[in-house]
Amino acid sequence: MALNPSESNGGDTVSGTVTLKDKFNINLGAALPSYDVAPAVAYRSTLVSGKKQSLMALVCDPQLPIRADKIPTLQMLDTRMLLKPHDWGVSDWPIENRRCPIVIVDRPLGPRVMPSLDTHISPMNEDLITRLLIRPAAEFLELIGNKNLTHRAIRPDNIFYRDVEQTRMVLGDCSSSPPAIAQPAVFETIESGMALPVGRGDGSSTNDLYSLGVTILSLLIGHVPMAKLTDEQVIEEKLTHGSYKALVGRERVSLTMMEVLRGLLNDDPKERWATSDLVFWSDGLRQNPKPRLIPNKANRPFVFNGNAYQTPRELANAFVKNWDAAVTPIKDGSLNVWLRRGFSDEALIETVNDAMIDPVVADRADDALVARVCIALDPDAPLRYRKLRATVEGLGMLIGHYLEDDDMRDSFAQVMREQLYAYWQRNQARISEAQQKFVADYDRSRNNLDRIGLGLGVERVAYDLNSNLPCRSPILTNDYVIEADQLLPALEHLATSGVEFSSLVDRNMAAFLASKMERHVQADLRDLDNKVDLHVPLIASVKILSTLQERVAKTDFVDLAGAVATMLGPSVERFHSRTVRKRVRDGLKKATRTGRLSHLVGTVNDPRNVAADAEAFKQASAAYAQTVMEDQWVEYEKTNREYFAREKGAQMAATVSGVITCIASVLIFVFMMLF
Amino acid sequence: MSEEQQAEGTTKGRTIIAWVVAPLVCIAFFPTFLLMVIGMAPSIVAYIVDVRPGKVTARAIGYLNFAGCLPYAFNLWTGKNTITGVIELVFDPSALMIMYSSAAAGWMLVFLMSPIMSAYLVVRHEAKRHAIASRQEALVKEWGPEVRGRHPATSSKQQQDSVNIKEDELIDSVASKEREQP
Repeated sequence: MALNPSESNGGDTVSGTVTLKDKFNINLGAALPSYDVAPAVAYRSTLVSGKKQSLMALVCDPQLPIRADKIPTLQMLDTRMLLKPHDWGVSDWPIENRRCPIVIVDRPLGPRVMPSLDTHISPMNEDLITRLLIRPAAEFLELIGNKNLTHRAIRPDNIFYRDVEQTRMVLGDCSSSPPAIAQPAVFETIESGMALPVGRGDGSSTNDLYSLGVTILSLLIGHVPMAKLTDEQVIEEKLTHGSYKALVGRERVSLTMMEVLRGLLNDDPKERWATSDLVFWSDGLRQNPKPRLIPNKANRPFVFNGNAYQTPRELANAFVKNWDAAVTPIKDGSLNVWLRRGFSDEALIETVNDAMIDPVVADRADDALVARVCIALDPDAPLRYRKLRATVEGLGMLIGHYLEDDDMRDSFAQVMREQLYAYWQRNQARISEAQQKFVADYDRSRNNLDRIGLGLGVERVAYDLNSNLPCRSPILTNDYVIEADQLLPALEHLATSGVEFSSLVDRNMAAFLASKMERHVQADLRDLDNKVDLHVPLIASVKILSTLQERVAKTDFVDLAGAVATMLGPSVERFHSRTVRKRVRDGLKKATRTGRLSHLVGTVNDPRNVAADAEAFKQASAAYAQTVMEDQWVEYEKTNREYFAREKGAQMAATVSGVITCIASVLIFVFMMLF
Repeated sequence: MSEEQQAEGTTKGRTIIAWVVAPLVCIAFFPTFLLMVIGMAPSIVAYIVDVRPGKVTARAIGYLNFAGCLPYAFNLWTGKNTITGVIELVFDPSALMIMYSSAAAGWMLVFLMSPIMSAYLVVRHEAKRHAIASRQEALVKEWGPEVRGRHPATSSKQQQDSVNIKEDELIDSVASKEREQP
């Protein structure tokens, strides 16, 4: 979802103020388009306290996860090279008619260094670039690298002049969107550029250094290189000629700057300059970066889909672009023949053969075969499976973004089932600790992937792999919830606005909560799947929310409790006794006033009450059956009344006769004795 | 020894006593026995012809017949307690008439009781049906129509009651919702 960039809403000018966390005022009528950091849009912000501080609010795209977990560390950084985030929160945003995440950051006083990526500016002086950008940026990247952070949004239009006099530069925000999502492929390394924007992952400082290299080049020449090419063409150019040659091309660059550009734009991450190299260079310590290794080219090209390819890397890229056609050359052996005849690299041939013949899964699907061969041909490239393209760090972010896309879900599930990430790991000459951690995370998450039931499946994996992913539940479609403690306030907000809930915990929310607090809600999640008794899932969902309230929120939610009590109305019908029902209804009303969901559950789901009611109902049913039998007997007696009258009359006559005889006998005896 | 065996033993003992004691009593009080046989002849006939369980008709006649014979048995004991005395009494028409009239009174009682009992049953059936209907109504009111289980509502009144209960509940719920709304 793209945010409305202006302050207009349906033609009407929106004015007023939004207050974030009672600390920041955001002026709806004061948009700052010149400070937008795509996809976020900027608005003027002031402190509620009235203290003067140059701030702006970046209103983020609510469909994308922001880097909320990085914000606290970024806040603590001691640097003047970043527009530091001060705080973030979720607030009503009238322009979008929904709630949006908002990050408050420093507002620079000067303009952007380059107004946009497709504009031309006057080439900048080398000394100026070195002084204002290279040296501070090197120190900054070293600083964040020490804290395991990356910027991933270094590009000329995200660099500003900090002051009006334009004596200092500052990097723009990097927390309001997923890493590298707005980076054109030209600013990304070949591997990162191959991945979909949402699947690039946090990367490492080498990614930032590469982006910095392209940014330096852009400022030196006054425009973005290869700006007119599409991302795919950029990747092809970089693959064919190498990044440095493709980007610098015939541009006139001084030997000094050539040195730094060669170092930063090296396609081999191991040979690419580190931040320390950049600091040394800016201190005047000249170095001689290693030249780019010339890719191993075959004696004769491999013709695929009408095009000739000379390196395995180019061919792998072509396979990815023509996925279905790639199966034939792999299966008919022509790829194998080309590799044997064209290269003397036994290790490469062995790896590709290993990708084609898997001793574990003999009958591998074509898609998995192509994916494995692509990894074998180009181990540095991201994981690729049909339309899915993501670095090993970005795979989780990608499924988080495409959670509603069935094709992408299928591809992701196949990547996980086929353990392509593990195969990718086996093919790496070296792997970072962060990448190893991701592989281990995928292995753990794979167990939940194919398990059905609420709180499991692809949704669960997506939330497990993305701590910043907002809950995608349709209930929260107009809100932004990324932590468990934000869920109940969001539901309370909906209840207050009069929204009627059709369900409380759906598939997405169950997965979200299971990911955040599995141990506490596991048992109730199982009850959510109960199809036999329709009351059980509803009560289970209220129990889950009450657990959340007791453990995380610790606040009363009266409106939510009211809405839940209304939903629980039909569950009162579980009780047979009308007296008990009335008592439970009264109890629900009382519990609603407390705003505690656990009280609602306790009222409607007291096990002793339920059992006693069931037992009493059984007895009442038996009593009713008894009355029916009595009624039938009365009817029978009525029908045969004459017979019963005779029989009972005779019995009565015998009784009366006996009584009379007794009395008469006594009287006779007395009379005879007296007279 | 089980209770059944004990009861069987007791019955056997009683039978033996009856067959031994009764003839002895009859022999010892033979005039009285003779008077009773003659005076209670209607009862003996009734006992033979009565097919009802418990011989209730014969008992009704027999009790009153006995009451009719009792004064003459006293006369015998206080007067000539011999067979001659018995014959004198038997040949007294008024004595025999009184003894047999008392048996007839027993018969009359049996005949009269039948219509009285019939009328009584009409009243009793009505009262009982009322009581049953009230109990069922109370059960349905407390537990709802489902308490009937497989048994349908036995009267149109009960069916109407069920409808009324449902309507009452609906009205209650609507009213409570309205109260909740500010």
